[in-house]
Amino acid sequence: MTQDELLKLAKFISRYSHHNYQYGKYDCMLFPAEWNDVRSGTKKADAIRDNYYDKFTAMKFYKNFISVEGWLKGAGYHEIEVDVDNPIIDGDMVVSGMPEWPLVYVAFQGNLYYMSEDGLFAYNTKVVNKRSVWRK
Amino acid sequence: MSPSLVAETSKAVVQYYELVYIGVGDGYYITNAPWDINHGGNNYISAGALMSFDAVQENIGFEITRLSITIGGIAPMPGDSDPFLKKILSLDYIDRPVSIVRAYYNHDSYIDSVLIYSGYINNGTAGVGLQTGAAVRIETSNNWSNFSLVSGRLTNDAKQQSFYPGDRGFEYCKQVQKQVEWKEEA
Repeated sequence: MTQDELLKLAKFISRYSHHNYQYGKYDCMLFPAEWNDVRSGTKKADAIRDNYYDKFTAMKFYKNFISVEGWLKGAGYHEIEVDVDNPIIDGDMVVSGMPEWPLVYVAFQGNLYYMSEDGLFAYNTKVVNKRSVWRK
Repeated sequence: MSPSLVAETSKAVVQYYELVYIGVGDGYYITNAPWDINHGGNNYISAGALMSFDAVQENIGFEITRLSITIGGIAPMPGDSDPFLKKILSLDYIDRPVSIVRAYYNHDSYIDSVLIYSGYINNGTAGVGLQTGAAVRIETSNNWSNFSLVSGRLTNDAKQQSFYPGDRGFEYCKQVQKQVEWKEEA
């Protein structure tokens, strides 16, 4: 991740932290997708935004949408093995949760950021159960 | 607080960002907002979430509370022959002023601001992390600390005049020291 991208992520997190959770507007799917758009100059989040409005319709939408892993591959991310010599770094995407309802965290400054229904929270990297880690 | 700010802070969702002034060198103006902010004639550069600080605490006592400000994600500039750590450590930062102003917004429109912290730097550290890059952390004490004052300041009129000319608050304090003898009424 370049220094310019790091500052973009810092500003993106700062802005997102003032949004209330709102399905289809500011939620756990759109948080990583919109960050990817900010980073890459793409508009991939448009395919997600405004397609659901509550938890039920969101689950229904995701069921018919491509998997998180497939989406990340399509966005240019590749899965990595994390260990002591190759730790999580800024900008990595961490996939956690159940396959039918995955949670995607964005790594920044030693924490993992996730848009929960209570707002944007930062979690220590050690406390999140990681299914896979993705890097661009 | 202005009426507009009172109304804004009464809402369920409040949008605000902090503007930090660090009085080292020519002064550093940094904000955690996602955009640069011009306030009081100074341009606060956006550092977003790269800048963080402890929660500002208020209490009823005249205590010297401390607050740390961290600015992370610092990388050496390309072609920079003077590493940033060396530069940071060479700055004269002890006892330099720090202030934090909280600027309130409503859907990104500026409402008002209020000074929430004022203090002085009493320590500074710089470090390099493998995952997070380099960071600078400064520790401050609030404005009840004044390092230019000697400890055990004398509360007499002469001292008071030297600090606050014209203030007669201690004019008769020497009278307090007089021994008062109580006698039974005749």
